[in-house]
Amino acid sequence: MKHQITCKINDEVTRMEVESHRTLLDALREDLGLVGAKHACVSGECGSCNILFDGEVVSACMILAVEADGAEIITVEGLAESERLHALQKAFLDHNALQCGFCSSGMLVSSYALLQSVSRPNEQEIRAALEGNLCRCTGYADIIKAVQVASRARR
Amino acid sequence: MVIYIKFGCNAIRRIPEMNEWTYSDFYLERGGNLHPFDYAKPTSLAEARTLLAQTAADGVVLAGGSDVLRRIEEEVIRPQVLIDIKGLPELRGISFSVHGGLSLGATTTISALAAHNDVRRHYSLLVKASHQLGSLRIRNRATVGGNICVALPQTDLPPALLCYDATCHLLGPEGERTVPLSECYKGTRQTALEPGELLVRVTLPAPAAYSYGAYHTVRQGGQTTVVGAAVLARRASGPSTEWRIALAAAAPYPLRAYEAETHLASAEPGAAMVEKAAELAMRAAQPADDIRASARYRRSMVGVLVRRGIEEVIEQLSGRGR
Ligand SMILES: Cc1cc2nc3c(=O)[nH]c(=O)nc-3n(C[C@H](O)[C@H](O)[C@H](O)COP(=O)(O)OP(=O)(O)OC[C@H]3O[C@@H](n4cnc5c(N)ncnc54)[C@H](O)[C@@H]3O)c2cc1C
Repeated sequence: MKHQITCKINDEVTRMEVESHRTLLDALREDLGLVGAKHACVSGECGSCNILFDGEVVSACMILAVEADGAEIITVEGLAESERLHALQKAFLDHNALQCGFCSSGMLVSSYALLQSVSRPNEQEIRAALEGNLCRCTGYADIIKAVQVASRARR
Repeated sequence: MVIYIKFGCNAIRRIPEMNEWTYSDFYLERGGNLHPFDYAKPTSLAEARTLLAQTAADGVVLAGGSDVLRRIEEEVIRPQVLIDIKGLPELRGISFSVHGGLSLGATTTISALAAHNDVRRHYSLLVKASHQLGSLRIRNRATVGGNICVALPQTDLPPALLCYDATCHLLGPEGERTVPLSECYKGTRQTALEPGELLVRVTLPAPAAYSYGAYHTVRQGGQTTVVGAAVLARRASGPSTEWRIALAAAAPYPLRAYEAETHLASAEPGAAMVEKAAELAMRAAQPADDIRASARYRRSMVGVLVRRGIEEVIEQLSGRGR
C-alpha cells in the first residue's frame, strides 16, 4: 500500500510517496539521497542511523517512513549551515574524534540533541547522551572531548 | 532443515546438504525491504475497534515499534497490517492528582514518563526503572503500553509498576475492563489481552505519604537486563511500612515476590529479616537458562539484588527516623 506523506526534513518541506513497509532510514537514504544516517544493525542497537524526529533522537531503522507524516526531521546533513560546518563537526575533525567515520553521523546527531537541551554538558552528561552509540575503532575519549570543546566554542 | 543463528537482522545459516555455514543478511536478501504489509492509523477508538476486529489474527498493533519492527526485520512475525495506535487521543498523556493517583496513556513514551514532574516526585521508582531501559533513542520511542504488552521477562518498567499496584485498562469488542497488572501476564509473550483488545492506559493508586524505591539490576551498559529487583516501601501517616518486591528476568514474566513482602511487613527489623526476605524472593523466582545467564546465576543474583534493594530502602527510611 502506498501513502503520500509530507514532512519537514532539514528545514525543507518534503513530499514523498512511500510503501507501508518502507523504513524511514531507507526512504531517507534511497529516495532522498540523505546517506548520512547509516544502514548498519537495523535493529536499534548501534546508533549509526540516528536522526532527530520532532526534536528527539531516534533510530531511523526502527521507524516506518509513513510514521513520519507531519514530523520534523533533522539528519546529520542538516547540521552544517551551507558550507560552514557545525561547531560539533569542526571539533570532531580537530580532535580526531573519528577514524573510519561510520559511527560519526550518529554521534553527531546525539551530541547535537544534547547541546540543544544542555548548553555546557559535563562528561557524565555527554556519556549518557552517547550511550548506545557504538564506535568500533577509536574508542570514545576523543569523541567526548570533541563534544566538550564544541559546547565551549558555541556558547 | 535449515538452521539459523540470529544476530539482529543478520544470521549465520547452516545448509546441511552442503554442510556449510553461510553468512546471511535477511535484509539484503530481500533487496533492502521489509516483508510487505499494510499500515493503518485510526484516529478514533471506534475506528480502531473496527480495524482490530476486521484484521483479527493478521493485524498487529504498532506503538513505538521498537519490538514490532525488530521482529518484522528478523522475520519472526509477518503481519498483513500494522495498526498504529499513536493517533488515538485516549491512549495519550499523563494525568495525576494527589487523591486520584496517576494515569498513564498506553502510548506515553518512556522518556516522557521519566521527565514528568509528578512522576518524578511521587513515583520515583518508575523514573529509576526508565533510566535503565535501553538507550535514549529507544526511550524516546518505546511506550509504556508496549513495555507491558511485549510480556517479556526482562522488561524494566513492569517491576516498578507492579510495586505501585498498577491496573491495566483494556478496551475490546466486548467493552472496557480492568485487570491488575499482576494478573495481566500468562507467560512469556502472553498477556491476558483478548484478540482485538487494546491497552488504553495504566493507572496507579494515589501515592503514599512517603515512599522510597530501589531498582537494582545486573546488566552491561545498554544491554538487556540479565536479572533485576525492584523494592518499594510505602508509609501512610503511621509508623507501619508496606513493602513491595518485584523481579525482572527472574521468571517467564515480571513477577511479584509476595512472600518476601509479607515477611518484611511482619518480621522483627534486622539483618535476619533482610536475609530471610532475600531468600524468599529467590524461592519465588523461576528463572530461565539462556544465552545471557544460567538459571542458577539468576536465582542467586535475585538474592543479592533484593538484599541490596531492601538495605538501600531501609537506609533511606532510617534517615527519616525509623
Ligand atoms: C536496542 C533495543 C534495546 C532495548 N532495551 C530494552 C531495555 O533495556 N528494557 C526493556 O524493557 N526493553 C528494551 N527493549 C525492548 C522494547 O524497546 C520495549 O519493550 C518497549 O517498551 C516496547 O514498546 P514499543 O512501544 O516500542 O512497543 P511495540 O514494538 O510498538 O509493541 C510491542 C508489542 O506490544 C503490543 N502493543 C503495544 N502497545 C499496545 C497496546 N496499547 N495495546 C495492545 N497491544 C499493544 C504490540 O502489538 C507488540 O506486540 C529494547 C529494544 C531495542 C530495539
